[in-house]
Amino acid sequence: MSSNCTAALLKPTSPAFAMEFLETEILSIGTYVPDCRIASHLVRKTVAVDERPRNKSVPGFDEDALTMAVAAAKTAVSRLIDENAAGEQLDLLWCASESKPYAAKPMAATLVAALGLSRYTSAADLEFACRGGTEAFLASAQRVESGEKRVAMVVATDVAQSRPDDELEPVAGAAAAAIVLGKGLQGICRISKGVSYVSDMHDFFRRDGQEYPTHAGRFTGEPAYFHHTALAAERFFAINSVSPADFDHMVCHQPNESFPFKLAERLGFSGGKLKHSMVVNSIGNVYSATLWVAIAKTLSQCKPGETICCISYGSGAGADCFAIKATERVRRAAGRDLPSIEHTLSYGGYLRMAARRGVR
Amino acid sequence: MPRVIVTAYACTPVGELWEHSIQSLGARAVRAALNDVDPRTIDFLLVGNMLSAGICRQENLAAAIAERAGIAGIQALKVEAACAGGGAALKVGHSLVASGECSRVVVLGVEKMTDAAGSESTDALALACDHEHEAMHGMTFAGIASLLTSMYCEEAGCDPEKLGLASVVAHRRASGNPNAMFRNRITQNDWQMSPTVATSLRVLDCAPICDGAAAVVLEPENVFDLRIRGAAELVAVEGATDCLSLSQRTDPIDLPAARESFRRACGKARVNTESIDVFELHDAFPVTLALSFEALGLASRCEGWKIFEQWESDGGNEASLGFYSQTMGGLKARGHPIGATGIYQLIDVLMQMDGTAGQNQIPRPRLGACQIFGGAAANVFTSIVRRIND
Repeated sequence: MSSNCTAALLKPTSPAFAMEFLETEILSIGTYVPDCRIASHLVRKTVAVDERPRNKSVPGFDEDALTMAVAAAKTAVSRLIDENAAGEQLDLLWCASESKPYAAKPMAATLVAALGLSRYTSAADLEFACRGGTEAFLASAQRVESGEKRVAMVVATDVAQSRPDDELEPVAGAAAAAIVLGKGLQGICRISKGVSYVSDMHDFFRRDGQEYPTHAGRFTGEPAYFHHTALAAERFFAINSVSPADFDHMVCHQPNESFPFKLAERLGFSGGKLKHSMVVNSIGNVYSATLWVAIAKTLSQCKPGETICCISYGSGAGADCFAIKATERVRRAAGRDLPSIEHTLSYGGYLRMAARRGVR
Repeated sequence: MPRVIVTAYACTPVGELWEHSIQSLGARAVRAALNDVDPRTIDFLLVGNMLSAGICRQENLAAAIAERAGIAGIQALKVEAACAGGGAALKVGHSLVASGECSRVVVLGVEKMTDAAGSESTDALALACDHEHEAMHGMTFAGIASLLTSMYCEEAGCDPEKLGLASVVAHRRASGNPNAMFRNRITQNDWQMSPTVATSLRVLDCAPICDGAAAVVLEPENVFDLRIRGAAELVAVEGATDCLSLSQRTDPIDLPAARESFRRACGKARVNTESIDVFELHDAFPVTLALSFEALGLASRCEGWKIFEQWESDGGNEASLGFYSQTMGGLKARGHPIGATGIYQLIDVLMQMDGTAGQNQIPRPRLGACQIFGGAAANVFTSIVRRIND
């Protein structure tokens, strides 16, 4: 009897073909991380011997997923190399979050207004835990590819929620990332099609009206995170006839600092390919923004022509795998956008900030 | 009274068995143990378990498992004695067969702890504490182990670090046991770096939260088929109790129930300590193992911890000690699925007697003793096993 949940690789339904990239490209990425930090060990319940510095970002008392989304979106727009990509050209905006300020009122509509976009913009919010951003990204890329839309923006934003004193609290951070996509507008990155793998799971969820999410402990590991990411990635490799050796970098969702390395080992990536993408130790797990902040960080350090394997994971549960390839313009429009001043909070300061935000 | 023979055994690996429920897990072990035995010949199903209600929301467990195992209709009963449930179920099974009441009894131990997360597991395990004196004031089982460890180390004059050797050795042995939960070896440094759970207690001191199911079939000698593999005699199973709460005990670092249960079992079996080749004892924490050695007379008071040092310095060769113990990784590293553990201990001994212990094979023992604690040795069962075939 085996406790290994990895199922047999599903046979791809389409014939194998060499990895292709769309005409649609990433035009820019903008990120926003709040400027306050707290050392994770101040928030941790147990006393760990290994006290390497680990921080998480803490949203200010007047910040939420929407305010961060606006900031990231404006940064992304300001980074566009081709001005023609902005303004009325931008006709699709999707916003992904699992910490929406309103259960019923779309952030996307506020973003359209805040960015001064045309009211004829197609706009909506998506949710799939930490994976909402990549699902929105892959879907909007196809709407641009088909010609139905000219330029799309995808925003992934979260104030990561956790019950106070929960094991998640030391890594629950906050950030937003905005990605602009378009064709023929001086892109910084090529994009491939993606593979998704989804199943019905209860590894992490928050019931309507429930203040804090429920987290299923060790169940979130093997049967949740690893099963879905591995299955999505393995199928992606099979369909595209590629292997980990073909990629220069790997970026994956980071619920903690150890899962990405275990996933890399399982898939056959060397740990070194994760080197540029780890963000969880400095800003925490920022839920749907994690993968995109990590991609932005990687792009800011990679060379033109390098390829990146991207693997997202969202509880509930699902994973996406896709590839991006840096163009010669890559360094011009991606960056980590760390605030110039970081404020390190004491534990008391952290509690006061949360109290003023109206939580805890 | 006929001799009671163990005619078959089967177990699942111990681990986080996410894809199984308590019903499917228990049924799986029962069917494996029964193999091609006609289910209509089973007289009784006994199920050792502690937390089917606390974690899995399932009582009436024996009937549920009988149904899932395809033997609905037989008599069935759940036996509860906290972590000693498996040993207690063996006691009942032994009695049913020895008395002539039954001619084929299945004794199953099953636990599905991973259906709860985090503090739910801790709360459920605290059900084995004395609620009125301990649990309602916030005591947990790790807390009890921590208190015992601190008291023991103070009186014995030893460092908790010395107790950590028990876990290092446990993992080393479990690495050769395909049914063990932990196959990774650990070093003293790994132990040192593991987080503190409570004073004097680290994560790597504690048996894991895990799932498992193990079953044996008991039959009287006169219907025993000599062709059946794995046959050994379950010579005696005897229990004893002590105060539940440490606060009511006159000497918390003495375990009278462990001593008395062992004495009774040896008395019934007409064996002495020296004749027993292999012991499978209750190493949920290193301090409980050290205290077990002392209770059984294998070490003097406050000297049980020295056996860990001897294991380490002998490089695992225990011939110099005169007995073997925790041969397949024990509760710490093979795993401790609570109500199932007593059956796993028995199976560890049976495999050694069978010669099927693989990398961990010791010279095939003639006599073995298994001892399992319910709570902090508040209810202890000891089984004596004798090899039949040479």
